[in-house]
Amino acid sequence: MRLLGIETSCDDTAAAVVTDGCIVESSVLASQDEFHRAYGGIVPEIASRKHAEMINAVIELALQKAGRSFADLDGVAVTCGPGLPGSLVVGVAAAQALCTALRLPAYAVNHLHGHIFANYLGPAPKGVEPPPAPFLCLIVSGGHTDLVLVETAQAQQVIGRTVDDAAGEAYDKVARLLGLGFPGGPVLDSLAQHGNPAALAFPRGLTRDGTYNFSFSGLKTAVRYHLDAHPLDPQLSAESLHARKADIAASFQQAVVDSLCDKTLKAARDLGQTTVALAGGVAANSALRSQLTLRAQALGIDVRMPPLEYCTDNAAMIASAAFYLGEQARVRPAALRIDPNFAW
Amino acid sequence: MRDPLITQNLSVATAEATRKIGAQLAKRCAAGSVILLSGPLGSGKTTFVDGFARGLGAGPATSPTFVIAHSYPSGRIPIWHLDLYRLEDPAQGEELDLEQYVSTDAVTLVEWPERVAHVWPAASVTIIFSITPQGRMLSLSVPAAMQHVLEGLALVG
Repeated sequence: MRLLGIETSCDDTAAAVVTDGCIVESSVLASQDEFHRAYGGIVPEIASRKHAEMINAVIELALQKAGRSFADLDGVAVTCGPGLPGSLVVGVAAAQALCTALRLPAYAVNHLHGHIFANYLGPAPKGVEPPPAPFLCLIVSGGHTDLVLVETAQAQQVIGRTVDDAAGEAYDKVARLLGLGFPGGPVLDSLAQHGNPAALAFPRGLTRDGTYNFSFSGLKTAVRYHLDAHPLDPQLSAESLHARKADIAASFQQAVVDSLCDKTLKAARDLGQTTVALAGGVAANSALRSQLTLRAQALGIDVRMPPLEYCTDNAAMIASAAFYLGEQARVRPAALRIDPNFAW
Repeated sequence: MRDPLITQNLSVATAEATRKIGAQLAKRCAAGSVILLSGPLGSGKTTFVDGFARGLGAGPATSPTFVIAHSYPSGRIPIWHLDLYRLEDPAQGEELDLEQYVSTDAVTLVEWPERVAHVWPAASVTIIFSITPQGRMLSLSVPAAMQHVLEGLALVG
């Protein structure tokens, strides 16, 4: 079964062709370099008008790269929420038009479900072996930090989430405090590799609350307090300034990684889970990947991580989710609607 | 000419106290209210909205920085919680069509409203958050015609 996936819930316009939920024939983002060369550099950012300008070309390129035409499709899967109404509506309208015109089944997918299914994706021609259910999935991104018990591909429950800021948001805000660029994740991650993670004792949120929830707002504020008390002195040499920033980045990152690993592995032990999967943009973070793997191995827990390109927002994961959710996600094309508060 | 502003300062020592002020204000606000929340990172803006949302029976609320807008439709009055932190350029605010989030049947709370200043009605509640050695200072301002919104609020801190 070959599905076209469409994703416009946030910054990037994306389309993909995926067969049987795991074989990625193509996955296109409007921000990709080759797309820029072909269509001239518009990046959608957050504006629905820009999604609307990009969507047809992105879908066309996804089909072209897969070597397929509309006639080869068995259905269209689209992100219906959560997200900004003006952005979601572009993808949903495109899916509705295609399904109506081509008489194809439509699938309404929750963006967060999609992130989990990034773990089911592999390159053509064979794809990958899906993680064995049940497993725990930690979804960490700029907008979300959710711990999900995946009982089967069709049945999931959220057992923990952030009570304030998402982990990726904390990265972006601390990067801003340090005068680094956006998005903050990759910049801080590489800077942290030059610093001492034990240099500063930043707080780990909600360590003893007995839940699987996360909190990163206090950590962000602690970095701010530190910088207020010990400003980055522009008189310092470039090396000293770099070393100080690197220590702050490393100590901050260690606090984030400790919080994520502690709660996830506690949940795995409590619930007898032997597989933990990562998902979301922060799943590309090198410290999270390596430390979670090491700590899980010591407990006999297997860690699964999607390829980096499927950690961040993409449409292949949406097509995969639709394949596995099947009838649960299927709607009449005429009934396809945005759902900005799409609940699990 | 604009109505003169009435201002009240409240000093709070804990995040819980910030939530309580949010919950108290929620009980005094009617549908159609717009509340603008200014102040640096970590000064309590999202914590205030969490208290406000809980006060309306719609909470908890988390940070909408990444997605820009969260809605909490299930309380006494529906809430739009906006965060314009990520907007670098006021033109992006126009692209987002921010007016759609201000309506007579919802309450709109906006973090970093100054990023797109011209959109907000003159009859908004403005709260400026600052970090003090004792905790946080919330400086609330309303046009004189809306003075009732602030009356008695000092007692709850």
